[in-house]
Amino acid sequence: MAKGVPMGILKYTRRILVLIGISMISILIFLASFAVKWDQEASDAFSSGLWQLPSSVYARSLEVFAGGSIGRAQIVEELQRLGYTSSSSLSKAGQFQTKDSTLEVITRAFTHWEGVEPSQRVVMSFKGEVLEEMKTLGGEIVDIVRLEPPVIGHIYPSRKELRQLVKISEVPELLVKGLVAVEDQDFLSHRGVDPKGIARAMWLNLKAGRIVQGGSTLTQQLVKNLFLSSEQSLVRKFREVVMALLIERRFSKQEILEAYLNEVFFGQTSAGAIHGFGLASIHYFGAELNKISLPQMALLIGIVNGPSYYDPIRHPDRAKGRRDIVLQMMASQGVITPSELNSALVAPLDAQVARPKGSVRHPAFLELVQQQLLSDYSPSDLKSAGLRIFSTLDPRIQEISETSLRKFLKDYKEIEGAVVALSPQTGDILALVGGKDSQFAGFNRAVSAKRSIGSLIKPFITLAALNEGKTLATVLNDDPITVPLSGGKSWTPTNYDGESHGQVPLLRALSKSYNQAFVRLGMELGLEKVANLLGKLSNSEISKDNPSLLLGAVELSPLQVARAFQVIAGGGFAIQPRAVLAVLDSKGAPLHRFEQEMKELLDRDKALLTQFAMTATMHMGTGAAAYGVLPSGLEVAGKTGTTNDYRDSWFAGFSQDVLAVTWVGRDDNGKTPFSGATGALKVWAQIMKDANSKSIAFGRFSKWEVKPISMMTGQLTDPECPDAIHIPLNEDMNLETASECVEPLADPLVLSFHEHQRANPLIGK
Amino acid sequence: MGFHSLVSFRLQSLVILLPILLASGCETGGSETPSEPSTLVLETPPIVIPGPVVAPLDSVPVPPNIFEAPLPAYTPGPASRPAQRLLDKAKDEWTLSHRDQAFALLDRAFRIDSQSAEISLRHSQAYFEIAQYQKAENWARRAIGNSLIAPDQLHLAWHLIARARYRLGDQDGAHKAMEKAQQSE
Repeated sequence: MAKGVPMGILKYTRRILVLIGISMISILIFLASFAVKWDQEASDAFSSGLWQLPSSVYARSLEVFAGGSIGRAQIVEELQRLGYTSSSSLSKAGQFQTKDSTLEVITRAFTHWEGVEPSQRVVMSFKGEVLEEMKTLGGEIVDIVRLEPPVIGHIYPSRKELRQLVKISEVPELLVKGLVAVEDQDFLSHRGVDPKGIARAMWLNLKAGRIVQGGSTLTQQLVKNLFLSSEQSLVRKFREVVMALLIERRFSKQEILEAYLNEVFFGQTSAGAIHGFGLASIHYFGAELNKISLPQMALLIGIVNGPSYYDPIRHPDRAKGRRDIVLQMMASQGVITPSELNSALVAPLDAQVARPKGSVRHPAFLELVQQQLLSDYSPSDLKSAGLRIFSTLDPRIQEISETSLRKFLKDYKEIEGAVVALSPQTGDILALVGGKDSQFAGFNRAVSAKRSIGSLIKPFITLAALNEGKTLATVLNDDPITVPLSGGKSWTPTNYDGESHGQVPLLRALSKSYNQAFVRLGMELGLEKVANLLGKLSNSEISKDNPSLLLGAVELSPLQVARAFQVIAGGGFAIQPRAVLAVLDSKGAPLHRFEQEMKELLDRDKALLTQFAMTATMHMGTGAAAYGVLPSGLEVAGKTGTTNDYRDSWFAGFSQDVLAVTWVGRDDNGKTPFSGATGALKVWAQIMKDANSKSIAFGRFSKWEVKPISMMTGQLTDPECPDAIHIPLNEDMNLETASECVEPLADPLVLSFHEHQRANPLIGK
Repeated sequence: MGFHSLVSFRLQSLVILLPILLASGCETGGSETPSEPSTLVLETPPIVIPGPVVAPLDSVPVPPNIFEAPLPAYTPGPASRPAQRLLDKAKDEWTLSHRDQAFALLDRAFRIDSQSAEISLRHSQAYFEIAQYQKAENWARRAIGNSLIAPDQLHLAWHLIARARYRLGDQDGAHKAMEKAQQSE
């Protein structure tokens, strides 16, 4: 201790020093605890990898085989959809060649649920459009070829970052060198923070009189993008520096660079934020990263510095200026030669507006996929675990459906629509359109719009009547009817044409959609029977309290309607509609397969009779306008639905392989100019025509036989009478009366159906 | 924030940072902690193989239980050529106990040829074998609903329904289905 210094001062000095020491240690401990936390955070993010890899959703795989309904044009369309290229000499997978009557293709290998489908070279021979045979080059017959399924979208994390991951090994070396030259020259030698780089950036910026180079290292930029907000504060900067140093200690330069290349922000689009060089390359140039030119690489590197400011679409001059600076920096550091610089400087910007590959093309369907999967997977797994989801969507039917709805409604700003198409035999949902702007992920009307179904209920009342022993020849009374309601009120429904039609056979009443006849029939059967049946088939709760149920005052979504009609189309078997077939993990390992859940809900004969009745609707009833679009030989079944004041226009119908439900109406439930026949039917008919669907094949009616019945009287009649329609009837049914021919026939559509049946007789029992 | 202030932040940060790093030693540990186990599991249906009915030693011999007897001999019916190819593959996978793969192949076959009674029957047999009797019955009924079902297939379908009903505890339904099976012989 120094002499002459008063003891009091020494004592105070010691105390102060101790206090300072304690404070320093406390601060150090405090800050160290943050360092530990941040280190853990960075480490977790890197070790969990992926930076939230979205799940990929695939369409169905196209199965190609001889004798199938898939024609040549459809196969070529699918190959093009998958990015196969037409080539005069095939050398690798993903190429095809068309000649006079053959199509040769080398398919790509693909991992499906049950294993790898290997790449194979196949020669397909066609007769016209029909595939007749498939062979290998060695002449061996190939029974079936399954193409890989196209990606139809992704399920993204909530931040909605669009990204196409690239591996560092796939990135052109020139791009990496250029990036390092411009953004962080000492990247390979520094430890995350680069004082030399900061000084150099300051000097360059001072020299240029503006900012041409940043001082942050690539690692710091990565930290900023991955972990930090855009807040500008000392604490945030401190954290950035600490985390950069920590990441550099834990991970290799290659890992950091790869993360940077995938994370860096490139701008905002309507579909989401573009991240990473992989997607930026596709977004701006429509090309994979390893296919772009030097000037294009320089442009991408330049955009990193200010994605909005240097947006090459909105600000091409600025973007070109920035690109040229990048090129000059690359040349000054020997990354490119002077001659490469000169030719790159005169190259045009070459940027285009392209749809980001990761954008969602069928949002309504993808929403349904997520709904189906959320019962088995957590939302976070769906959005970030990189799952591979194999769906049932048929891109061709989807595009046809979207186009049909959009075209029909193009002149009606306020009117919306929805389409559901599914396979009546398998329950696979082939297409789902939630609105006329099918790319807009807004209100999904196909799933969520609950609307009154109008006369779509009549096939279900017909089924209930068949269950109670009535037949399609049963005569109904279509005279005016008044139904008493509670509270002394009453309800008097009327027919669409405002007329009464007296005694009519059930088949004709359904075809013509006679309200009075059906309300009378429904009241006789009982509301409960009708409500229970429709509830069972549509898997929904149907109120039986109001007689207006009998004219479709029950609200169902298009998907629920499709579900109910599927049971009729499926011969009485209900198959739960499914949007997803299977899920694999990000490495291709099987996780989950969705089985067909099937149950017999209707007597097969009753379902087939209702199918037949609905085909009659298409020939001699409210669906007849469809044959203005459909080929006359295509046998389809259907039913129109219209609600009060044309608020809803519905059509539900099916062929052998496609069931489609279309709805047209206003979101505010306002009036439209469309009935079922003038609105939804037109959308439906176009879909069925363009889908090349197959005719309904009537099977055997186990205890029924086909008899000629007068559509005017409901009595057995001479098969040559113009009012005679052959309908399946119970063989035990005692039809004593043979009626005279009704001449002249009042209804030309009945005569037309009569002629159709003469040309295409119904197969009996 | 301007570039110059950014630079000054960086320098200040470095000054503060060095002692902290020394104090923390830059080693926090725990970074190798594995991520949480996946909640995604492969769904495998329970397999219950019913044992043979054995009569008690001291009791009077009872006639063999018709519902436990082997299924009738059966000649597979037609399916389209590509579907048949998939059915063959499904059979191979089933033999290797790759049941999920086999079901996926049956599913594919059904999607390309849903009118084939044979494919519905194969589904029924597969579900019966893994003791999913309700599904076995549903698929057998679907096969019966096919207008082109062959007599052999019809016979087998009713046998499958009878056995499925029996195992589901519906004796009455089992006997009725067995009657149908016998009628279809």
